[in-house]
Amino acid sequence: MVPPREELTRAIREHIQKKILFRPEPLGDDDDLLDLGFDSMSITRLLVFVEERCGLLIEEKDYVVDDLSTVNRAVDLVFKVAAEKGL
Amino acid sequence: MSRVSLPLDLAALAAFGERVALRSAAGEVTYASLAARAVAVAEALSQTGVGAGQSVGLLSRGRGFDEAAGLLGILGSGRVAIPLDAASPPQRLAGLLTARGARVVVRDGGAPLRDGEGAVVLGADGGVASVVSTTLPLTAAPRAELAGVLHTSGSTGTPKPVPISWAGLDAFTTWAADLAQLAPSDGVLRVAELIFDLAWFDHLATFRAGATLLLLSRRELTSGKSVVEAIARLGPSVIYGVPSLFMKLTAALGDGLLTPCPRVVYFAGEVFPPRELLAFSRKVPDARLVNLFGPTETNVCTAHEVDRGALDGERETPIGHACPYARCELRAEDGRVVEGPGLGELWVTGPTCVDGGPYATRDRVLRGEDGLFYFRGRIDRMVKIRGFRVDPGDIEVHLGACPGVHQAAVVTREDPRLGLGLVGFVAMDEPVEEHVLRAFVAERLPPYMVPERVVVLAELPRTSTGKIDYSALSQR
Repeated sequence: MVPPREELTRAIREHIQKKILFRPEPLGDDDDLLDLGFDSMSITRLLVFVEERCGLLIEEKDYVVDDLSTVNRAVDLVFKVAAEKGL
Repeated sequence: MSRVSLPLDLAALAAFGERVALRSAAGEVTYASLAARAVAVAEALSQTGVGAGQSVGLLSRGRGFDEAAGLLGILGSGRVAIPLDAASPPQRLAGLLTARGARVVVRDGGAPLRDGEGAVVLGADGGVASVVSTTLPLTAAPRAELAGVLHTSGSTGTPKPVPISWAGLDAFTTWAADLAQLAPSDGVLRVAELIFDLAWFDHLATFRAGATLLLLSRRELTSGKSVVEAIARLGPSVIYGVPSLFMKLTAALGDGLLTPCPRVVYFAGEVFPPRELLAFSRKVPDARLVNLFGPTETNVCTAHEVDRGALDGERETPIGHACPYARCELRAEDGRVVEGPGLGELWVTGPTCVDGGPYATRDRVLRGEDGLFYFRGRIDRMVKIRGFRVDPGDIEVHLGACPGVHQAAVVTREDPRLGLGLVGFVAMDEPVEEHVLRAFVAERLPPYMVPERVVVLAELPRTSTGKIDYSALSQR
């Protein structure tokens, strides 16, 4: 189940900040994650998190790297894929 | 074929003139222009107070034209390059520079890693933007025989230096360039980071042949799909990468082929699973596929050109025969040399080895009935995480240093999505949140060495002799 936008945004932001990038300082929803050290493993970790949190599978064909380059874009992607899959 | 000789002479590179040395989405740089930028870096280094034979750090966060200009400026002036991993925490990089006696860093922006550190700051075009003199004391003797120093994970918790000599670099790049029949018309895709010996082929073999180095940004490297697109745009004829990369390409290609098809694909750094190698080989029907093998301490010491007819998705690919510059012996546990077919530890002697060798690789290798070498795993605990060499003991030192942790153990675990990853176990009286422990490690070690999970236990399981029971932990 995809949570409401505000809740999903916070969950993704905190997961990226604390568990993927290990940043002590807060993360902005429009900060460029790739400039902060996000790599292909980070993207896979984020997709695994979204998959578990939302019960939604995002496959490689569903996105380009830029779709996951900020917290806001990642949230947009989740809603887009959920809509496409009729969830 | 004619190759520019080593140690590197910038005038010889400049003589390639208007040929294209570097190409990326940002444009092209000719050899004449690249050599001029390297000369400017070398002159700037002299202004910072660093002499010949001394170590210089090299840090490129953007992977623009600055990286090649910086590397050539350092090497072409007889200085020693210490490539730095842009993804590593600053604290680790600072410690590594100090341990090597490097007082100046060539970098594309950013801040100094230490007080008093000198800098040659480059723009993304490779031009010198600013120069800062160093006030750090001279602590290391010059090493004219060295081109660079790489660093690998060691069991002590501090990065282990691996010196790269000019003689070794000459032997390896000459052989690898000849095997690929590298010519000025070739384009070599620049994939690996300079902290890997793979990337030294990309740079040195390419420039020695007057060929073109094709640059990818780190952003492009983050997905198989974007690498496929970059290959379509740049058209490399030679690619040297880790199997993980080629597996990503296979997945991203779906039913399609890799276009244009490269002429030569070198792979190294980890085992290419047979089924994956078969699948990849079908994506590049016209490419020669060559398995290169060897730890950083020996560089490539054995090689095997893949026989496509022998690929059945099940049988392993041999690591092949010794390279012509490397003497490879197998030694049994009692130290005796294994003649003919049999199993032993691989020992390597030759110019690519530290001090000429012999170097005991800690790799278990089988010489088959067919006379070819086959990799049979590590004798110690070393593992490969996405091509990065990791000693779990290195991580245990740092995890064990977290406040409140009595003891730490690290094992590997296969994850269907993330591949082979690390899992840490810590014994603590008062548990803290997992992410706090991972963050502590992330401040000290590069991202690929941070465990995916850290499990807090009251005590670590023991074997009957009182040692940490790693097999019990692996099954948790």
